[in-house]
Amino acid sequence: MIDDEHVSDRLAFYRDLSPTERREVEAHLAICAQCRAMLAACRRQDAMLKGIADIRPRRDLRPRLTTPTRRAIAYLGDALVLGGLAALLWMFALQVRLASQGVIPGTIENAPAAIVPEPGLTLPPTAVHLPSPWLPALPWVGAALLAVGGLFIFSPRNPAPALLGGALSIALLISFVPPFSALPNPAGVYWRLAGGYRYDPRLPFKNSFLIADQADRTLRPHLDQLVGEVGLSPLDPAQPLARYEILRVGLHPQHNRVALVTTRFIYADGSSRVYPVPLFGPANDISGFWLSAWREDGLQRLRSDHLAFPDQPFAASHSPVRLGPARLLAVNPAANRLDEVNPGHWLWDSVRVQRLVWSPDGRAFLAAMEMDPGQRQLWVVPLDNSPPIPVDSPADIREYDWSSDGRAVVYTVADPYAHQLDPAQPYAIRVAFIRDGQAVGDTLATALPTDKLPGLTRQGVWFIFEDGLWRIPYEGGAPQPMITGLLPQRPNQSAYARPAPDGERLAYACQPSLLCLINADATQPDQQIEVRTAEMAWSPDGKRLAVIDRDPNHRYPVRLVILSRKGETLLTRDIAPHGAVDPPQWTPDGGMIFVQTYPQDGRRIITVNTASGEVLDLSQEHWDAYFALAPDGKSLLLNNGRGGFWLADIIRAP
Amino acid sequence: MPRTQLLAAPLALPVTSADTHVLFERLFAEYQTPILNYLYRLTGETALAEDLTQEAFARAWKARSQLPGLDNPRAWLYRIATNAARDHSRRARLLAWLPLWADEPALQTQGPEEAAIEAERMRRALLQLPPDYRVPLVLYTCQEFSVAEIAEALELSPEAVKQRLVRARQKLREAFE
Repeated sequence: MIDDEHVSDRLAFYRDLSPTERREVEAHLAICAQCRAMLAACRRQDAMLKGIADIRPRRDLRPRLTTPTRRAIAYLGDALVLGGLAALLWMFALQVRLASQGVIPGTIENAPAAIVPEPGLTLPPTAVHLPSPWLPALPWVGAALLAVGGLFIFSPRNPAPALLGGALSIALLISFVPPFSALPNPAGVYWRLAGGYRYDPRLPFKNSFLIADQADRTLRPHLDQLVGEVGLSPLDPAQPLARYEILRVGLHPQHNRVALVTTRFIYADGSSRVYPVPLFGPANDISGFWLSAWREDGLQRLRSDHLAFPDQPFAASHSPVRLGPARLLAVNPAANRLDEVNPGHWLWDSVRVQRLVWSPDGRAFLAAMEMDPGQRQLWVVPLDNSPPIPVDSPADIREYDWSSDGRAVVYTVADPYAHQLDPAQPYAIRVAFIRDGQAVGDTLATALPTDKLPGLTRQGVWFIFEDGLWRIPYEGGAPQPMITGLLPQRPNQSAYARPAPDGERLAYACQPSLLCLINADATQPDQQIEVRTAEMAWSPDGKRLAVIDRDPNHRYPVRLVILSRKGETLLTRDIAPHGAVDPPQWTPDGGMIFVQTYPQDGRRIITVNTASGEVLDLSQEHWDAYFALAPDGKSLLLNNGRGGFWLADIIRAP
Repeated sequence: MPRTQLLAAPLALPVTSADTHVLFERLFAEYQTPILNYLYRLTGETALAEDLTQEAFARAWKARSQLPGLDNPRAWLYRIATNAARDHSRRARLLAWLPLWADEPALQTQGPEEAAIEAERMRRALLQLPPDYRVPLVLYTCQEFSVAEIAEALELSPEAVKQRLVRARQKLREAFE
């Protein structure tokens, strides 16, 4: 019995007492005021707890998973996350397998079996051809699936993440996944305005709104034709193209209608170079946004056979003169990179490094690097492995040569200030002295009507201005009038003079179709020869003058005319069917003349035997190179704008 | 449907997905507001109580396949709700489900709404109880659970529930005073 015991503990759950317990507790309560007070307190406590105001739902508390749409989103999220994880695991397993095999994933297998590397050299590792272009994309696909799936999964209470994930998916789809990305999309419009769009063709993602068609697939058949060919880098016959890798496809920074396919050319010795090969001339262009079906590509020059003309054979092994194998010249690596990457030389069919001029002492050469059309940088490239020296800031440099003593570089340039004064006389003559690895320059004369290089002798720089012949020292100062009343009329652009090395006999184009010879102490020319002078050069002994006779209207072939000092014609030979010509270069003994000709936009190495008159083309197939005759006349410096400077010996038959 | 009908009678024997969906809908319609107020009394925050209610029913939905075999679905549902609140407390690193008091005005002890003020004092006192005492007390007094039901919902023995009720009342008395 509990009559004499308090029941306060049982009062805490008084409602749940069994009938027996309740009777016992009630019996005790009847005699115990303390426990009655406790029960009252518990009931008051219950009442106050129940008195806490209820709240009503302010929004729908139904879990969204219960709706079919929400369930579908949740399942989709689960599937996306699982798919993302599977993609990542698959890629990881593949990478582990490939790593154990030592191959490079994601590149193109294109190694011809016929290529035999030189002894001691190893071909680059063969790349593996992946079964699907999606494979390298798996990490990105997996990460995207995980992200979007996560947004879906975390959206049971709030639809915003799912909506965000959906919008993100659609944006990614129309921006990067063909064919959806061919639709107008924000990313495409952004890159159209901002420029700089490019993509990795080994991945399946691309914005087809900017670059339609498979640019790399368009180019690949043409590249395949080059595999195994020699002369691409640029002249060494021992280094055929082993394979190539297409690294990037993008829009040209300045030309939205040109796609650049950045390609690494890998040669048989393992060396490689990267070039952006352009695709241009789109056949189908919708408002400039749609590049497809390119009609031309920048490999045209590489594919050019550069064959001999029918009546002008290449020099052969039995020819009296031929070139030995070209070998890479050891110059500073910075010099070798002068012509490495320049989309322009693919686009405008010109090479970046242009005409080469060897210094008289043989220690350096001049090379002009075309930055953009009308913008050239002139460089002195030392042969002692020191870095190349910029002669001037980039400008519209026209012609250039060394002074006769090799101390200075003289060049003509379009002078914007002179152009402002008189647009008919916009040119200037500048000089730069090369000292201690630096070029220090000055302007010798300006407001000249011609961009032709002035005559250079040890006495100074000879140029025609108004109707007189003037001379100025290389160090500058006031020009001295040498001959006045030289021309009966205002000189045209062809008015320039070539003094003999002794400075006592001068040749100049007195009219477009007349070449005049005059003694330095005379006032009137003593000889007038009917040639349309394009270029001319005195022999080293000053006894003969080589003149290029070129008719601008192509009525006759380009000819080399050799005149005596007195003006007698000693030899006339056709050297090119047409095209531009560089100044003739004499060998030191005067026995041969080398001329760079440009028929059909190709570069030819023409040599003429001054005694026998035999004309030979020393080019070889695919060469298509600029050259400069060495001061000793025993070798040629070569460059074709596709990497490095090369040396080939001149081999004369005994 | 009276509240006790669902409580007293075990659910029938539907086994298909559609049937469990119907059972869940009945459960939701019946207990949406009680669960909300239960969680409100546990947490003291309306918005949090709503979120936890939704979370509790989401969990119940995922486990709806258990519904046909339950003897006491109400206890099952309150156990889920209690766990949801407990999990939230852990996530929020709150040792007790105490709301922040800093912004609440001081209570006035005199005036025309003295009863309401007393109730508010009681609510605050309740929130000062440790969860182990607060949960059975609320279930017993506010949700009118029996000791057996509380034991089932909290997976405790009836004796333990009784002990906690005794201690809870003592502590509440101290906190209220």
